[in-house]
Amino acid sequence: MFDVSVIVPTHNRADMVCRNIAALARQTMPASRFEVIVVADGCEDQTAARLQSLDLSFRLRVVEQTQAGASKARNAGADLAEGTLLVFLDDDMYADAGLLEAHWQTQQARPTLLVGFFSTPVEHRSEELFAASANAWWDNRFRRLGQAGHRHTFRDVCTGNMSVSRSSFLETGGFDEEIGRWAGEDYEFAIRWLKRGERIGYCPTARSYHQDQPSVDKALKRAYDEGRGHVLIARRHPECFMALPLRIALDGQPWIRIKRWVKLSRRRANTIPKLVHPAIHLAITFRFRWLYSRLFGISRSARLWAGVLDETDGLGGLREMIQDIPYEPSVQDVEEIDISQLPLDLAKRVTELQPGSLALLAGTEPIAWIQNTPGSEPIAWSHVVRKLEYWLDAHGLRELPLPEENGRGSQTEPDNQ
Amino acid sequence: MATKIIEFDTLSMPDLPEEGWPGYSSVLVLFKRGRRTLNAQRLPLAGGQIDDFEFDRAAANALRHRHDLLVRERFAGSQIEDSPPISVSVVICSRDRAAQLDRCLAALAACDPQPMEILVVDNATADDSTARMAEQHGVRCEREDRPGLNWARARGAAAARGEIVAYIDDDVVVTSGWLTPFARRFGDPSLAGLTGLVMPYRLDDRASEMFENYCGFVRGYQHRTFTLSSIKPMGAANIGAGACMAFRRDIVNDLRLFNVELDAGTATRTGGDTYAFYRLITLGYRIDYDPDVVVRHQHRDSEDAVVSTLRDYSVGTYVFFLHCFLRHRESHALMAGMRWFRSHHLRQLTGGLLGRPRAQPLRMTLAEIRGCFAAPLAYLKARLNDRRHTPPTDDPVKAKASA
Repeated sequence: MFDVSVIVPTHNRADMVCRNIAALARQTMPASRFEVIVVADGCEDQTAARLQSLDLSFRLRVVEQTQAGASKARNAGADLAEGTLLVFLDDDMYADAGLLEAHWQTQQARPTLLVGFFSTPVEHRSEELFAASANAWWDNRFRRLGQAGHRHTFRDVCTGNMSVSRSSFLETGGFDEEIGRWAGEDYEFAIRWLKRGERIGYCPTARSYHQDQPSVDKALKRAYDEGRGHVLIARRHPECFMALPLRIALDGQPWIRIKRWVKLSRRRANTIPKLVHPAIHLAITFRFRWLYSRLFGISRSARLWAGVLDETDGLGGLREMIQDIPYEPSVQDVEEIDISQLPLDLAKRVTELQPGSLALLAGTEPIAWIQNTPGSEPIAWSHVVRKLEYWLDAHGLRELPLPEENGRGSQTEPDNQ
Repeated sequence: MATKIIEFDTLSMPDLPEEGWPGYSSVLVLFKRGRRTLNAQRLPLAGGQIDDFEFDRAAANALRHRHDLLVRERFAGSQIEDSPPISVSVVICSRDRAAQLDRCLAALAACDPQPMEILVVDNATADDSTARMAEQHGVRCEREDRPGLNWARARGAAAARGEIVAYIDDDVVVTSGWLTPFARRFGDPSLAGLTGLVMPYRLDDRASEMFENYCGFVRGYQHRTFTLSSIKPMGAANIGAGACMAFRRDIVNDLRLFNVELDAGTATRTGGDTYAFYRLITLGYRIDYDPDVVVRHQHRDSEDAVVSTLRDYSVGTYVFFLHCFLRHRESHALMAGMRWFRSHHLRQLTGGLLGRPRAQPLRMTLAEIRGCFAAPLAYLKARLNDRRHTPPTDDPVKAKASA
């Protein structure tokens, strides 16, 4: 009946969600082709009533549920949706006029799990150290997503602005509701999505503006939620543990002896942030960048580990969990391709093979190796080219034969990305 | 001592002139591959003729510098620019330099792709020569009566209609493909600004060589990305030069990026571009340096002019540090200023006094140090002028702080 269903979970942000829903009237997509479902998750500020009172050109349905988390809200919205394409939008996202059309057109060309672009608009930007570094982090993340040959992983997915076909979403099983109480339900959904052999895409023209004001306290709370949520992800998908931010926190860096010390005790993990907190705010007020970044790093790490240790119920539980994790990635389905032969259908062959791991050779000399990393999308030709850019210096390139006359070595991806 | 500047495309491999370049002692070759820049190398000339072996070696060196381009060509076909086109407004701010503006506009008329519009901002020119020159070339002209390059830039951004505002100086001559990377780069919505490679236009005399040597605009031949996590805000001067920079128009206008008394035409002489980069970085935006955007800048033609330019750059640098410290409470600014004084000026001074071969001439170092000491007074004059002419509600920093 509808092409697109927009699903917006919300919790006690009536002003913001009303403004952003009203703004959806500006979409270039005709109002008859999309519907909006707002799921009020335990709202006590008359969100539902205020939304119903808006005069809108598109169909809006408001569903209320007792507080159970954003995942349950999104799943409920997806169940009720009547559109073929689901677009998930957060309640603090102000949609650009071409958002829905961009999602729809890109999904028509190739159905995938599509992540859109969002950033903080100019009027909400601030020089405050935390806000600026958070904004810079997000912009950098989207820069990497947009690079040619970027191999998408589950960490590229964010439910703030994403679209997926309704049938595929329900087949994959929707968002995990237990993880949804904490953080990381988007990662876990993407892991299951990738396990089905599907791909992830990025659409820079599907833009929205993130109107939330980031703050140090919210970020630290989120770090705790991530600690808990990622432990749950690691339990469900142990092979993806090496790709989680948790693993990186485990490795540590040389100067973070303090962080290591903090990690091993639940008591320390809970008290350190309280002590460091006033110092962080002092560093922000006086704009001591170096001091702020170090203190914030320690605090964030401590909160992350507080979450981890709470979820694993102490160090013993953490050790047990780590024991189950396979540290060596399984090296199977290795395809070897000799690029010195330069077969004209090389690109097509890589795409058809969908290799687990790919070894590139020039004759018998290995050049590059693309690993079967759990939690990453299947290998595509553009990923291979990107690897070759790094691994083939000019010397290596000279060793390879020149392409044939009738095919100037130009390999095109069968379905263009 | 003259150096000839040429471009050489390694794809089309044109023949070099038979007679070489008589009268020149060296050649600066900008190696390109189609529309992509590889690098630039200086090669000696013997009797105006270049050694073929040296040239081939330099070309191979340049290709090795950007082997990733070769890999793309071999395995992925040539880079087809399939990004949707983006509308660019080119803004040139000019004051009393009609002849140079003429050359600049002629080069713009010949570039491909053409920008959506070209806009000349007549910054308090004494007569109507700038306006007439703009009319002669058939481009829009806006008048900004308040002298100051930054005010002219602000006026240009307010009057522009394109999605991107690209600023070039009036003594800059663009190359024909300079706008090609814009569609691909600004197609990435997370990019806020782009700076380009500013090569010298001519290196025929000693003054130009000195300028290129001591205050040249080249920031390397690799594409670089600048964000808060990759550059200290006080190092904003490394991002690029105001001679060729482009931003998203709505960002410039909403942030009132150039609404501040800085740069040429004011007491502070320079620094407006550095301050704009600083503001964007500290707000979390990203600026890229793309050497595929190539323009050529006409350097100063006399040694006295070069020395006074160096002094102006020094004034602008220290005014920038002062402004960041006083207005933005940037605690690192004073430290950065002292460090710069010690690592650059003092080092050049001792090198010059001891006669070290690679040190700057003493005359230039002293001019820079004079600029350093002139900076506080210049800043004060600029602030007073600003306050006299700008209502407090129009102050961009206060407006943001109270928002």
